[in-house]
Amino acid sequence: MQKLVVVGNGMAGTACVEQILRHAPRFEITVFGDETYVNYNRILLSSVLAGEKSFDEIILNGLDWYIDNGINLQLGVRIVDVDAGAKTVTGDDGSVTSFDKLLLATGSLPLIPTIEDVKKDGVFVFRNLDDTRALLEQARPGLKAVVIGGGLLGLEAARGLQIQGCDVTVVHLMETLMERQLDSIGGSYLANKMNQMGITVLLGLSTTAILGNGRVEGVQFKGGGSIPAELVVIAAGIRPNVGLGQKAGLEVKRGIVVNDHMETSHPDIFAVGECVQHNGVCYGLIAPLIDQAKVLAATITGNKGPKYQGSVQAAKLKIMGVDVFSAGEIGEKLDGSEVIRYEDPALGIYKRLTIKQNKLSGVILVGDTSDSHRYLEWMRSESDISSMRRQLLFPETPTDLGMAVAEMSDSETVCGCMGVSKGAVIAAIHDKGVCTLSQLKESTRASTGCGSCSELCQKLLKAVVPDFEAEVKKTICKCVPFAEDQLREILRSQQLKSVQEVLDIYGNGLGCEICKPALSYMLDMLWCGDHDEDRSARFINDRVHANIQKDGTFSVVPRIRGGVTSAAELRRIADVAEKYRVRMVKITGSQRIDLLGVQKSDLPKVWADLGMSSGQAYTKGVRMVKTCVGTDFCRFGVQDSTTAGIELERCFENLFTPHKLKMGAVGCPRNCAEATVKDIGMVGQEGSWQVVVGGAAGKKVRRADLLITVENTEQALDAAGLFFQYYRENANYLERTYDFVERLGIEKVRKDTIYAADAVKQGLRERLRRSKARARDAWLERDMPNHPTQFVRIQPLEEVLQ
Amino acid sequence: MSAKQWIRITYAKDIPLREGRAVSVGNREIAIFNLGDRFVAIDSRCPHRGGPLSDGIVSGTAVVCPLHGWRLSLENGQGLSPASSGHCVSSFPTRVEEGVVLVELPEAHGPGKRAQGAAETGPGDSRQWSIPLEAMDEAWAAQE
Repeated sequence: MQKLVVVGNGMAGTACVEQILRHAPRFEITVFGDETYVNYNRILLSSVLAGEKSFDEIILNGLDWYIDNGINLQLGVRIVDVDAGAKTVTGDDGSVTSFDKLLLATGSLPLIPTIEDVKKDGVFVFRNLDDTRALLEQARPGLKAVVIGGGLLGLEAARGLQIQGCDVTVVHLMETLMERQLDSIGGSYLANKMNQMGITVLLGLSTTAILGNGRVEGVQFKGGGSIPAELVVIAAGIRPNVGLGQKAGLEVKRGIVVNDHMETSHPDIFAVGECVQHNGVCYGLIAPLIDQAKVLAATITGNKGPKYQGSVQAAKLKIMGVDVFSAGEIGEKLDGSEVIRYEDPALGIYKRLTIKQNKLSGVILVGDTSDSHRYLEWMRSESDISSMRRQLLFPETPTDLGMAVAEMSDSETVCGCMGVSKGAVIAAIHDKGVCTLSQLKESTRASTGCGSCSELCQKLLKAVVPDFEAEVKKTICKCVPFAEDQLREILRSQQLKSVQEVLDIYGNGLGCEICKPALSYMLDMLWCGDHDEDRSARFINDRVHANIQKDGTFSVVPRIRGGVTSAAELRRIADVAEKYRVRMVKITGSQRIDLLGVQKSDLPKVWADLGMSSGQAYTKGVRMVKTCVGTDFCRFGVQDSTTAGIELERCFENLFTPHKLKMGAVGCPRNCAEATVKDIGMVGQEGSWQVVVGGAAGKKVRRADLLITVENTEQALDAAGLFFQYYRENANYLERTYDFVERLGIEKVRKDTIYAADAVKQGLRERLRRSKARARDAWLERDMPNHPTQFVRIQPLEEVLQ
Repeated sequence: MSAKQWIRITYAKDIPLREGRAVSVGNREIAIFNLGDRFVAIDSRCPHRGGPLSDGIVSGTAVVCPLHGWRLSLENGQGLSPASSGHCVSSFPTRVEEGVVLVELPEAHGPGKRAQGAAETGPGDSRQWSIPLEAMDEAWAAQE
């Protein structure tokens, strides 16, 4: 394995890593990011500022992505030096990291115009998440904000601040807003629109100084005029961040120079994104980055061939109600080109097409961008448009939705940022059972860039997905084309008890890694454990009752109820760790102990030596109850949370659930064991318990909803049991309680559980009791294996002749 | 010189229906699967990150790697999912004699031969990157 060091954890660096991972593995990848966040969608920072999205919603790949792909992520480390000879990079923390291949994805830096006294409190740039957070902290209704720069970013920042209530003025050096994307007419239409929205636009003004004593009080312009300001955002453009390229001795002009294969002047150093210059052009938009990343991934993995041949520059302003799109040539005087214009001042619509040799070479749209994807496709494909000239400005838009979508060719781009075609979207719908926009995003990455194609994606979904209206009627996968609630009914009424039977009768007879575990769960739940268990339909973790690790070994987590153990138990764990050369002994976040790196064939012996039962840490099932020390030792405890927690764990342990289920019990509202962010929590009060459900502290953080307040532990366990069984019976497979509770609403959950008719409650209790009665500690299979070779390593009957 | 030989691997009953088992033979590790009507054998390491294919879920005549969901054909070793397309593992002929599964292996040493007709990863192979990665189901994510 070669060492690949990626400097830059932004969109370009991440896109490259994503692309490299699609090739055969050949790198140990280390990614350095100077920000302290996982990679996020920088384009959507303006949406965060405008309060339309939360930070969580713009994360592209969470920490688990890095872990799953074996990427060593170094956050908060800025690489300050590159030694191209010794092949090392040096971080600002003093660390030196060697590389075989280096990828510079350092992006760009904000361009700060020469302004006097620019370093004052209240003056910001708008480039990263910290900037955005700082702006959100400062912005408040009535605050006088000035944005210096009337380009894409400046205007989006202005709108964001205005939504936060600020009184916003945009100051632009040029006479035209977005002059890189618009001509003067288009710019004036846009300026009118901004003014209509209540944002003051000042054009042709050069800012010379920031006024104020320590804190900003105003901005001064060339010629002497000034306006008051309590907050200033400088968004005057970007410049490629080429410092490391220079230190490495690479050829650097405006950006780091790369060729069509994305190679720099050094054979082992590559560069991508906003920091590079290709064929004299530096790109600052996302679509080119993705194109570059694909080529770079091929080159760096030894599959050199694909070439990067430049990108059509297209930009869309992301301000609700202000539609602006621009692509290709926008200049006023173009040799040999024809320009077609349409203006409607009353409606604020301006369209301008530039045509060169019967091909579309430039588009400007203000006020109506509904045809932007069509124009862009014509440009990308260099279509001859001479036969369409009569309808150029007003392509006949079919009123029939299906027709509009049908008119697009399969190769037509839907998402320009991520390069996803209509054909790819349709393939995802048919082949992967994609039904919703979020599934489409996950499956194809479409609409995860600037997001402006989300409407088009929705239209496509609506036109193609058979049951689009019934979004909740999501099928498990293409093998079994039924919604889960429907399928549960079928299995119950048809008395089906084995996965293969279900697949043969109601599916394609084959099944896959998605539906087989889902069906296994459903059958186990429906028949309270009295079904035909088929281990081949279970994920490996549930075949050998341990969690598979990246190297094919397993981790072992014994049950330590309520996190309470003993000296004798710990001694046994220590002996096991030594005897089986466990590579790591880890205290988990769940008050348990994880033994990592155990061979499959050792599992039964490990379990026997431990003499403990399975903690189910490997399955979609009951994990644990985290507890605090309660009343026995704690000065503040008002309920015996330790005893109650252990009892709660005993009530549900060894049962399967739609997704993993974590619980907590705390002896007082100080909540030391974090019960309010668990799937089920018990929170002790003076003389009562609160039972809370649907909490989360993982990928998503959610405070649990109060299910009920009860007087004693017995009632609390009963309420928890009603919810537990209700969740088992009604959630979709892989739906955590927090999504389940949110989907149904806590009021409905209460009505169907604690406030349900006695007969309903009795039914839930009875089915839980029956399931529990059949549930066994999975680790007992150490003595009674499910199959003779369940854990055994098969030895060949004869050896290969040498 | 005969470069291939049939090796008696294990009893058919040792491999449960629609499951796989890994066996080390000579210098290679192969995964043998029981498809009900026949047994199939492929190299046991996933070309992606070396995951144990023998531990994967069988889907018809394909297996899905338990680590990151790469899908490979059990008939010819070729990658079948968008992510694994263009990659492949070796596959080996099998037969059953008197309840024993035999596998035909190439010479004892040296790397395994590529499956017949399997696409090599090569320059300009647009499938390498024109199709999005298969969504990685949470099932593959760390469990705790």
